[in-house]
Parts: sequence; structure tokens; C-alpha cells
Amino acid sequence: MKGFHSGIMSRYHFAILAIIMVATGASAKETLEGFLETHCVSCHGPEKEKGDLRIDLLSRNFRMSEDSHFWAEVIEKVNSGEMPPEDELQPTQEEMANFVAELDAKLKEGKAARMAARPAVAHYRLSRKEYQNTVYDLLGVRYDPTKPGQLNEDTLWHGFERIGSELSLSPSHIDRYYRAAEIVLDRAFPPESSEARKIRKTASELRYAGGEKQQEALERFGIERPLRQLLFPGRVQPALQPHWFGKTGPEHSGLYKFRIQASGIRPPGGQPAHLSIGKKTGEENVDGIIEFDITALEDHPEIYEFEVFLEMPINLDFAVVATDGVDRRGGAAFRNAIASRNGYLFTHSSETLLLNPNAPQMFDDKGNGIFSTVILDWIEWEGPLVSEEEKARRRGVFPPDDANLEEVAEHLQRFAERAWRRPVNREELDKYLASYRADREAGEKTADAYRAAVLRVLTSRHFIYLVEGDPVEGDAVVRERLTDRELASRLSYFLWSSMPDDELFATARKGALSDDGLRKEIDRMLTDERINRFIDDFSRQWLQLHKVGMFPPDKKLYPTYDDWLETSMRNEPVEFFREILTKNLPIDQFLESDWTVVNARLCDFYGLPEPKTGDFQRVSLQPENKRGGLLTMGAVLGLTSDGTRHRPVHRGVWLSEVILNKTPPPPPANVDPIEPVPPEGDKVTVRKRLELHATDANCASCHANIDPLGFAWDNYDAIGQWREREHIPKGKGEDPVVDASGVMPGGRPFQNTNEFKQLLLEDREKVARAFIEHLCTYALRRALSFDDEEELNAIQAEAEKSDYRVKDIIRAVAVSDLIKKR
Amino acid sequence: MNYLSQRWRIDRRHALRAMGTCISLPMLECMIPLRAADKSTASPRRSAFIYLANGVHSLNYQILSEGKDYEFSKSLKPLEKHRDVITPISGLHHPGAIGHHHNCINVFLTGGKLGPSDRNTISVDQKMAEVTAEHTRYSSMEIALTQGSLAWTADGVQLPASRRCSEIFSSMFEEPKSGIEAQRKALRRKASVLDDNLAEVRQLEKKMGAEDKGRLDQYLTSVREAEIRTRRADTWLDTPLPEISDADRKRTNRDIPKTQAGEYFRTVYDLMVLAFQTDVTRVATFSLGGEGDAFSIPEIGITESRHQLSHHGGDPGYMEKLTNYDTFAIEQFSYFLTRLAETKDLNGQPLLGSTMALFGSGMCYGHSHGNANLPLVLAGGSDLGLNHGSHLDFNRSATGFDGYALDPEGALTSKHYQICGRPVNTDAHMSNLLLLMAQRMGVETDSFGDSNTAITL
Repeated sequence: MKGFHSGIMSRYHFAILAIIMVATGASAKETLEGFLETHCVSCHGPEKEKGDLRIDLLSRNFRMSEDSHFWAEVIEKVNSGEMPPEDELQPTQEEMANFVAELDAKLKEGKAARMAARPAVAHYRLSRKEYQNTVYDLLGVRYDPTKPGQLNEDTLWHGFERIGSELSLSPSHIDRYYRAAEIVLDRAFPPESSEARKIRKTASELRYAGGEKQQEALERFGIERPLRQLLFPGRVQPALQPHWFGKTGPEHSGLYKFRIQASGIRPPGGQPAHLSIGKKTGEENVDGIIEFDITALEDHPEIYEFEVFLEMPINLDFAVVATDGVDRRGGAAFRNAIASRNGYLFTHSSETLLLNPNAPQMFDDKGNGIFSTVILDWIEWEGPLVSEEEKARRRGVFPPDDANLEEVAEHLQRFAERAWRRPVNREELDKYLASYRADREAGEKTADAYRAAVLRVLTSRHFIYLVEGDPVEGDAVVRERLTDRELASRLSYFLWSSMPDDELFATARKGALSDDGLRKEIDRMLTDERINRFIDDFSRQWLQLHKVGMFPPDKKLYPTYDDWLETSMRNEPVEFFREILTKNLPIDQFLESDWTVVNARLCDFYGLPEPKTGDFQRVSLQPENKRGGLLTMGAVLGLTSDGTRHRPVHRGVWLSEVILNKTPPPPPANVDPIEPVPPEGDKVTVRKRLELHATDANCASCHANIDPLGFAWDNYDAIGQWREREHIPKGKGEDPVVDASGVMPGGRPFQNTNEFKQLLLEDREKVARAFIEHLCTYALRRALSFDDEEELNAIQAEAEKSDYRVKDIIRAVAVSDLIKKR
Repeated sequence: MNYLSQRWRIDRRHALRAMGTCISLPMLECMIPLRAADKSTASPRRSAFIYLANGVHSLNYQILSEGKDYEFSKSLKPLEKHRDVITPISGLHHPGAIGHHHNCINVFLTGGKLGPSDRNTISVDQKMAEVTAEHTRYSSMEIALTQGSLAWTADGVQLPASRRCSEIFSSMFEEPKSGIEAQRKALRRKASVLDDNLAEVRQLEKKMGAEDKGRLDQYLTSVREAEIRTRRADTWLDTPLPEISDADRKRTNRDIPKTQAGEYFRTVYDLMVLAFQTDVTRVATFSLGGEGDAFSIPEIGITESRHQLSHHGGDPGYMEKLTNYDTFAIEQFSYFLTRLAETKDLNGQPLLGSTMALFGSGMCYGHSHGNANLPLVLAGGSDLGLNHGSHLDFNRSATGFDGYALDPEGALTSKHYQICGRPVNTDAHMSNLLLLMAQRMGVETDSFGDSNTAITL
């Protein structure tokens, strides 16, 4: 529950009520206290104390959590109609709804305040992503914390991965941080050298075990073209096996360059061949780490090149992803026949019939491909590649072998200052140095003993947490403002998802991180390459993209949905955000735009003209495309569906949370079960069914505020395809026509998606405010509260000056007073 | 630090090899690891918890008759052969989960609350692990095929889960390649590093006063516990890892694609049996899949996700598939019980007698997220004093209950679904069952979660 907004809301609420109060003499207190007095206290008060509950004595200080579970129960009981009991005076539905809304708002406000509460020393644990970036920026080490057995998943709070109060710790986290630190150190300072190696495999080697025998067959037919490998949808084939390099262990993990010469076969009217390379997840699929469309024609193969981080040893496979896989016709026997080393030879589409007269055919009589396939000539892998810049980050971390204790201490101090992102006193390292000495006395070499000391630095709370308010940096008093060093970290984790770089450190050290100095740094950060981490991380978290594909679409209902489409969908809003930020476009574009950023797969899906290349690129949209802005993207429409049907309520809640930063109250417990409607009757839309269920006045009052925000998108199905009629698989009659009209909370009507978007645009102030709040939650790593309101107003005023252009909004947040406060 | 060396003990493997005899050889006392030699280990107690997401198709699951001569329902049929060692239970619920939809999985083993200001509490398996940990190499195992585990710490932090069989196998049974001395060195280094990390926090405490140290409580307990585990691991170093037969290794040390759900389920069960058999741990939790993402089962023609089936909307096709899914999952659970019955522990006793296995869901009627009348089956543990053989029905004993409202055709009635959504017997807390299990495991407590009594069985 997003306490902050409701907090703000209820304050406005109070403000409005206060005005009314003057006019009518009613008081804000009366809604809540009046209700309690009239309906509750007679039984749960000094007289009766039923159920051991004295509502009159419950704490009204919602900021302290002591009684909030009682209050939550009060909501539940009233909401469910259980209280007041039937034989007591009954409140009207409206009184009940107002009471519940107000109490809920107070609880949320209290919770937000607690979440926002900052102790004298605040510890914000790094998210997995931040840990990954930080070890890279610190030591030039690539480490994948999402690999099984590595760091635990972060707990999400409304999609955000980095909310301090949510990032808790168990013993297993400690174990894993320890292991991670060991891996990082092994990789930065490998015990055995791991020089880059390069291997090349031709199609003959990959597919035909060298192909000598097959070559003979070709000669018999007088075929001069070389053997090539056919990759087809429905069966994965090896792309990388670690033994190809010889002995390969974890020390060979790192950046690899992959090159492939290939061409693609595209069936008439079908999709271009899409190649996905990754760990095998089944007979047909891989978890792609390299994904691309192969558009080169059979007679003009091209060389494609990628760089990718590999945790060695690893097996990778090729998968061709297409809606129409080679199992729709002949099943496994068909696939086996084509995959058989001796049974199926491939050189060129024009020669397959000659070479494989009895095999299943992959081409029709005109030589057109029946399936999307990839023709592979050769591949190369080279790595691990370490750049000079990466090496530079490790240089000087270790003291020379003959270093005396003082030199060792100096080295360790220097490293700790970078790793902990702040000045470090020598005495803070006393313990570490004592352990170092003990190790040395026990006969360890300098390097080994020092390595253990570095390990201590990397498992310290100062490394895995962002520490704010530590007395080390100042006096042992509670500070309201960040020190310059703390601010530097906050800014760099905000905009770069990582530690500050040398320049930012230096500015902070000079005490120049204010006014012009600050602005200059922010401008540098916003144009630095690393801003892409902000774009990726913030857009993913803000838009809750982790939910894309969470409920996988039904294969029968949505046969065009495949892994590549899902990956493409997930990337679209991110690329769209990148374009908006880079071009500094106004916030309105999030709601409505006559362009988007898509790849070839999405063009095909949206029915847009096919682009020249497969990659993500900006394309313009026409009204008939029925797209524009975030809300009509496949990702958003899909993540608010359940794989089978679109879910108007989910869509309404998403829009409310993400675009307006308002979280509707949760549904009450004990609602009557929804009795299933057997589907033999007349076909009705999801909307109609919902309306049937929403007859309960208790439900209706909340749903009236949520559902219309979702109904507005009813013209898009569960994977985001446009439709005029809602497809109902079973039942009598025609598929019903979609009704995407509705009334906004507040009364403004709309007829369809476009009109709805226009209404949102009229509310751009609110949308901008919500966006600012999301940014601040992300930057400050906490829920916002009442106390932040003035500063938020100031940011909004600043952002408004530049017409709410997105980069300017981010800049306004970054230089704000709020961000300098704890 | 003083480390107990157990090097003088005879390595059981060597002894067996030397004697050239079979595994049923009685254990000589000197082979029993030191820590395993106290009296509570003479008959180890074990528990396994298995979670099925999204409830069941209750019309075909619900057992209607109570007591000893109950008749198995359609979905529970596969358990009929285990009648004497199981107790199907109806009518329990977690008060804290009512109305919380899919979050019910988070309190399934904790009996905690899910309100806006609540933090989860310790899960019963972890409570049990507190007493079993000192006897075994690993305190507990957490498996979840998708999404999070069922296990929660006392701080309300969810423990991470493993999902790949090969990963589970190697974490339990594979010796690190580096050898004992290198491992010992590494463990001692780790203990010393953690020690320094702890000292650092105490330094801060000294400066700031304990109440002001922010989120460090969790950090402190976590590091301390990690340190204890490290030292415990050190004492285990001299005890050889249990030897796993080639056949067992081959069957369990591999990855199975999720398209072969049955094979996947069974292999995880095999791993649990293996872990209990070799006594590497005595507590295991296994989520067949999270509420949002439980597998489909193509091998029996189910291509829809379980979540999707549970929101069947009254579609007879979906309801049939959901029933088939339930039956299938229960069949695999039955396989687990069979394996436990036929496998002997280190003392030569069938595992099933000393192992309590609880199978169930935090939901009953998935279509409208009914969190009452939870489908639960408790099995095994007869040696721990559990008397099975009856259908234990807490609805039936409640006042005002007049049947499950199932007519012979199994027609849909809202009355039946209300039983699954609102507790008929508000005192019948599932924590009472968890309390019973905790007590039988040797946890000395008279309450767990929101228990109000312990169930007697």
C-alpha cells in the first residue's frame, strides 16, 4: 500500500473538510470519531469491553504501530458487514464507505511515516543490481548476482527493488554476500592466469563432426557448396560447450565476444528468423542472453557480433524462436529427422531435395522456406576479455609482496575508502589489520593475508549498505542533512545505480557539491553513459515490468505469443523511456505519443510497416495503429492481464498506482465468494460479469474509482492486441462488442481509449506530481510522507518551469533540497 | 577456538569396504557422529511440508464422511493405499490469511498476519530446525519449483529456495573438490571475517547506543547465526558425507525440464527421501510452485497454468482439468509416502514412521480466493505417536454446520463455496495442527502462531 499518496490525499481531504466546517459546523473529526462513538464504543468501550477490545482506548497516534493491527481489524469487520452486529443501529453504506476510507488513509499515512522514519544511522542495503554495478565500478569485475545460488532476490515494494525498509537480511544473505565477495576477489585477482582464448567452429564441425563422410556424399552429387548448419524452431542445438576451450573453470568467467556468420530463411508472410542464444530451458527453448533477428539472405550471409558476460563453465544453445515451430506438422519424428547428423545434409535451399529426398521438407516446391530458419556458416567465441580500464581499477589494490605493515595499512585504507564510499579512519581498520598480522604470523603470504583483509572490507556493513548518518563522518549527533560524501553516494545510486566515480568523489571531498558545483555534476551524470542504468532500472521498477509474463498467456488463445515477443515487449517501454529522457520530451508523451520505439517483432505484432533492421528504433504511429504512449504497449496491457483474459480491475489499479501514485484500498476479507457463471449461457464480456458482481454496495463504492480506469483499455486483449469484439471461447451467440467507455472518478465521461487519454492529459499536473513522487521514492529509497510535501512542491514548481520535460524533472529532483536531506 | 576432532572415528565407508558386506550392517557405536550420539537422535524425528498452490477443485476433493470409515473423494483416491498412515483434515484455516488471496502461501507455515503493519513470523519448519539443527549437517532444506519458499525466519524474512535438482543434490551431498584441510581453512577464515564484521557493529553500538542503530538488529542476528553455522560446518568436516549409491545419484543429480512436471516432482521427493535417509537434515519444505506461477502439466494434457485453471469461472472443462491436476499432485505425494515407507533410516527403521509429512494448500476455493476449509493431509509419524486412519473434520463439529452442500451431481452452490471462504468453525486454526507437529518434533512449546490449542491425533 502506498501510504504517501493517501496521506497527502487525506490532508487535502482535511483541508476541504475544514473549509466546509466553517460553513456547516461539521468537523473532520466527526467522520471517524463520530462513527466510532455512534457504532462501536457502546460495546467496545468502558461499559462492555466486548472481545477485550476498548476502541476508545486504542491509540490515535497512527505513526506508532502499536495498535494498527486492531485498527486494521476494525476495517475488516466493518467492511465485511460483520460489525456493527445486525441487532445494532446500522450505518448507511455511504457512512461506512467514508469511515473505512478515512481510517484506511490514516493507517497508510502512519505506515508511510514509519517506513520513512530515519534512525540516527540509516542502513539501506544495496539491491542485487546495485551490488553488481558497484563491484564492476570498483574492481572491473563482472559478477552475476541473479545466477542460481548467488544473491537472494530483492523484496519488491510496488515494483521498487531498493526500498530500505524492505531489504531485509537473513543468515543466508550473509553467507551469500560472503561467497559473492570471494568470487569477486577471485575474478579480480585470479590465482591462476586466465588469458583470453579464442575458438572457431565451422558448420561442419558443429553439425557433422568434421563432415568428412558427408563431404564425400556432396562430391557424389557434384555439389560444390560447403556444408552449412540449419537451425530451426522446435529443437535447440549447441552454441557453446566449455570443453571447446580446453579446461575451463570459474576463473574463465568474464566478457566474451561472440561472432557468427549466418543468414536467415523467412517463409512468405512469416516472421524473420529470430536467433536466441542462452541456457537451455527445454527441448525447444533457451533463456536468451543474446537475441537478434537474422535478416541476411541465404546467398548473402552476414557476420553478426556481440559481447556478452559469461559465468564459466557454461553450456549455451541456439534456439530459433518463431510462432510456427517445427512440431506443428510432423512432431518429434520430423524434428529428429532434420537434426540427425547423417540423415540430413544441408548446403543450400535449392539442394535439399536432392540431398535429402526422403527427409521431411523444409522448403516448398518454389524453394520458399516453410519455417523461419537460420543457416549457420561458422561461429567464434573469444574471452575472457579484460579492458585496460577494468585492469586499471584493480591496479594498486594489493601491496607489494615485501610491503611492511604501514604500507599494507595504507593500501587497505585506500581501498576501503573507495569501497565504503567515504573517508576511513585508520582505527576503523584496526581489527582487520590485527587479523592480517595474525595470518602473517601463522605463516600466510602477504598476498593471501591481504586478500582476507580485502574480503573483510567487502563483507562489511559499510560496503553492502549505504550508510547515512554514521557518526564516523561527524559528531555522534543525529544529523538532518547528508554529508557531501553521503550525497555523492545517494546521487550516484540514484542516477548510475552504482558508486560515485573519482570525479564525483573529488567534488564531494572538496565540499563543492552544492549550487553550481552540484548542477555541473548532475549535468555530467545525466549525459554520462552510466545514465542508461537509471533508464533500465527506474523504468523497470516504476512500470512494474517484473510482472510481464508472470501469468504466461494461454498458447491456444494466443498462438502468436512467444518468448521473443515477450522479451521485445518488456524492452519497449524501457527504450521508449530512453528516447524521452535523452530527447528531454515533456511528460505528456508517456500518456500519448505519435511514435514509439520498437523492433521488427513488435512492428509485426502491432501491424506497423516492417523496419529495415531488426533492432529497436523510433517509428511513427498513425491513428489507425491504435497505439501511442505507455498505456497501449503490449507490456503494460499484458502485465495487467492474467494470461487468459484482460483484467480491467488490475489495469485500473496499475494505472492508479503507476500513473497517479494512488493505491486503492485492498478488498475486504470475507466478501461473498464469486459464484462461477457456467459458460453455457449467452456470451458476455468480462466487464459485464464484473458489473454483475459489483452489485454489493460495499464493493461498488471502491470499484467505481478503480474499474473505469481499466475499462478504458477494453479494446486490447490479454496480450495487448487491438479488437472490436471480445473473444469469448464458449457460450451462445456472437462475440460481444467491446465497451470502452466510462466515467472518471469525479464525473468526466469518456467514450473510448483516446478520450480517456485526453482526460489524463488534462490532469498532467497530477501525473507529473506522481512521477516526481516515484522518482523521489526511488532516489531516497523510502516511502514518502507528509513531511516531504513542501519539498515536493518545490520540485514540482521547478519542473513546471520547463513544461515538465522529463530530463528536467529528474534534474530538479537531483538538485532539490529534499535529496540533500536524510 | 577449540575444535573437536573426530578423526579417530572409523569412517563408515572404509569399514564397509573392508568388511565387504552389505549396507544393512548394524551401525557400530563408534561410527555414529559425536553429535548424533545423544539420546534424542536414537530415534530421529523428521518433518516435510508440501505446498500446492491455488487451492483445489473442492467439489471433487472434499471428503464427505467423517471418522474411521470415511470414503475417499475422487482427487484423494491415490492416497487410499496409505489409509492407515494418513489423516485427511477438513475445516482448518489461518485467521490471518482470510481475505488475503494469494498471499496465503506466505503464512501457510507461520500462522502469521498479513495486515499493512504486520511482519511475518517464524515458520514451523524453522521452529523445528532450531531443535534438530545441532544433530544434522544442514539445519533444513527449502525447495520451491517457482517463486518463494515456505520458510521464514523469526525476523520475518523469507528464506531463499532452491529449485534445480542438481543444485539441491550438490548442496546436500557433494564434497567440495578442495579437500578437508582447505575447507577447514576456508571456514575458519570465514568465521574470523564474520567475527570482524560483528565487532564493527558493536563499535557503532558503543558510539550510538543500542536503540539507535537502525536496521542493524537484523544484520547482527544474521551475521551471528551465519557465524554459528560456519563453526558448525567446521565440526562436521571430519564426518564424511554420506555415500550415495550410483543409482540414487543418477536418479536425483540431474535437471529436469518443467515440461516433465511429474518426473520433476518425484525427483524432488526422492531428494527429500535421500536427505532424510542419510540424516543430512530432518526438516524440509517443498512448494510445488508459487501461487502465481505453478507449473502446467503437459503430460496429462494440462497446458494451462494452475492459477488459470483455479479461476475456472464455472467452465466444466477447466474444472475437470483442475481435478485432474489435484489428483496428479496427490498421486506424486502418494509416491513420496511409498518411498518413505520402503526406505530405512540409519537405524534401520522405515522413514515413514519417524517422518511427519503435511500436504496442503493455503487456499481451498481458488476461483474467488477462498482461504478457509484448507485442504490438508497429514501423513506418517506413527512412531511419534500420531494415530491415523480417520478423516478429521472440524466443520462437522461446528454449530450451524449442515453439510458441504454438494448434491450428487456436484452442482455449484454458493453455500459450498462459502464454507471454503468463511471459516465455519472459527476456533479451528491451522496453527493448532502446526503446534501438534512442532511438539511431536520435540519443540518445547505450548503455542505456535495463533494456536488456541493443540490438535490431538
